[in-house]
Amino acid sequence: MRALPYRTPAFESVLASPWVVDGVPLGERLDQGWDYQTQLAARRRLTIDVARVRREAGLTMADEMVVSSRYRATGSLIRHRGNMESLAAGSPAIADVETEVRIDGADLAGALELETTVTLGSVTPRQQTFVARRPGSILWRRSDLFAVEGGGGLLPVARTSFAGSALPKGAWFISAGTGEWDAPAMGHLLVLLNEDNPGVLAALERTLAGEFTSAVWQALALDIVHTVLSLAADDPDFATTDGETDDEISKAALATRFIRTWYAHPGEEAADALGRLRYDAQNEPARLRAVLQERLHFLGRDLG
Amino acid sequence: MTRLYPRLLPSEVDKAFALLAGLSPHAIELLGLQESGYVFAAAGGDRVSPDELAALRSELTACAREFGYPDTNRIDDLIAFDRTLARWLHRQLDIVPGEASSKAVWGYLGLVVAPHVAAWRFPSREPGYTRERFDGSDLTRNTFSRLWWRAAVLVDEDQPDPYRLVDLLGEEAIDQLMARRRSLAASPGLARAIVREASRRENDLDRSLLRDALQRLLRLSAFMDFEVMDDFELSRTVGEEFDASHQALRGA
Repeated sequence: MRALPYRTPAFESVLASPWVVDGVPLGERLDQGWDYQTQLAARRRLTIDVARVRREAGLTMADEMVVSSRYRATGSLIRHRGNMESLAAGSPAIADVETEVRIDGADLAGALELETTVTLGSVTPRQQTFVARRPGSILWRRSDLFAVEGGGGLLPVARTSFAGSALPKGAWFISAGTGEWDAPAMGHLLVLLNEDNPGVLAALERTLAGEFTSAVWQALALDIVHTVLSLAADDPDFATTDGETDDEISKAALATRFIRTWYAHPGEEAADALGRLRYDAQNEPARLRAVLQERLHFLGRDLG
Repeated sequence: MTRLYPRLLPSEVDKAFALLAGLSPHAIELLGLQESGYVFAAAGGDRVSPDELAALRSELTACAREFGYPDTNRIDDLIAFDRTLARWLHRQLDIVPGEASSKAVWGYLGLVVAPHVAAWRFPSREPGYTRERFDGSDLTRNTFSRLWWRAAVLVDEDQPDPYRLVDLLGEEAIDQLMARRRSLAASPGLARAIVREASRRENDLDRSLLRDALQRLLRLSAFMDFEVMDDFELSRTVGEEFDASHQALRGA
């Protein structure tokens, strides 16, 4: 909770509906797909207990309040404001306000954050202390985050066409540079799904039976885990990490998490499991793959 | 339709950067366009062709030559190069903010298309070239993305010269502002008001005044919504904070 230099009303003095686009929840609409040409008008309704907001914030009846929303993509970071609605003197005690932002697909990258604020508009001069006095002072705010790219998970996953690229034209490509174990995993690992591959495309579009889709993703998961563990096993500079912080997860921390989850025995230290992993990778690579198949229940679930 | 640029694969970055070690900018240019692993975004625009990438490389090289590439890099020339290139990149690349947010796009530009220009703009110093000037790991540091974003934040299409603000401040001052890309520079209106106010105080603007004013504005942003302010209110608010900084520093 942030301490402000003035009083603010209780959060529940403003009720906000979910964000919708043409009646569809915004998150659901984004899941249906978007690109740089997409234009979305996202709306939400606010029910504002104007009298309570004024009372609890110490405002006079003459003070104007302003309702507005804005969006910001976590990739491009630039904020874009939507409409502004004024709640001036004479507003009803309970006001229903619709706020709207027009989201330009050209701005989207990473995650999409939408924020709605009720701020102080024009004010009458006042002497009271601990009452908002500057126009623009935030009285109430609510922020909502929506994933728009595969950047929200542990590994960034991108769907793309391999045609015209120098990549082998396989089903997917796991791009993982060697070394730099302290670097953020998000910037150094990337899973590319080849949408030119009929099987991958079918899995992405869910046009085939669920069992088929499940088998595709299980194969991908096995490949990712095997790739990361193999990199860790082969690199003498790799060392397991202790615990995790709130900071961005590093490649080393990601590999350590994989070792703990998919390779270590119950109760076994990650560093000890790494020793076994290195032995298997060098001397019994087929066994390593089989162990990972077992631990990941490869082709052993969701297949009817 | 917007253009899509190649995205350098993370696994290629080390290899591409290692190629530059110990080479002069001109020697890097002689390497030519290196084969490298890349992908494009799946949809949403037209992919630039190999011919267009070669033309882009030529344009960037020609721009650098105007300012002394490859033999000289006087600081005044480098600043003029930055200002010229910021306008050019923003106008000519035809890239949207979402695409320009991709670190891999700028990594491809800095490590494959024009590493020689980056090497000239940010020369090698012991122990070698600074990696962030080439790869896309920090968009405020990559030789090209920093300029594109500077122009993107400060452009004002309502003005006769939309990019006038790009030229107003010195390199260090503009870097101080753009380093706060997540906060103050995320609001273009506010960023423009800061640049205008800072340039108005050019005579007594020093690093400490700007830094102090930016810190005050940052504190204010915790409870002020700059997005609801019009240009007049923004200018007044920014001016007040610069005044407060001036007073505080003069009294210190």
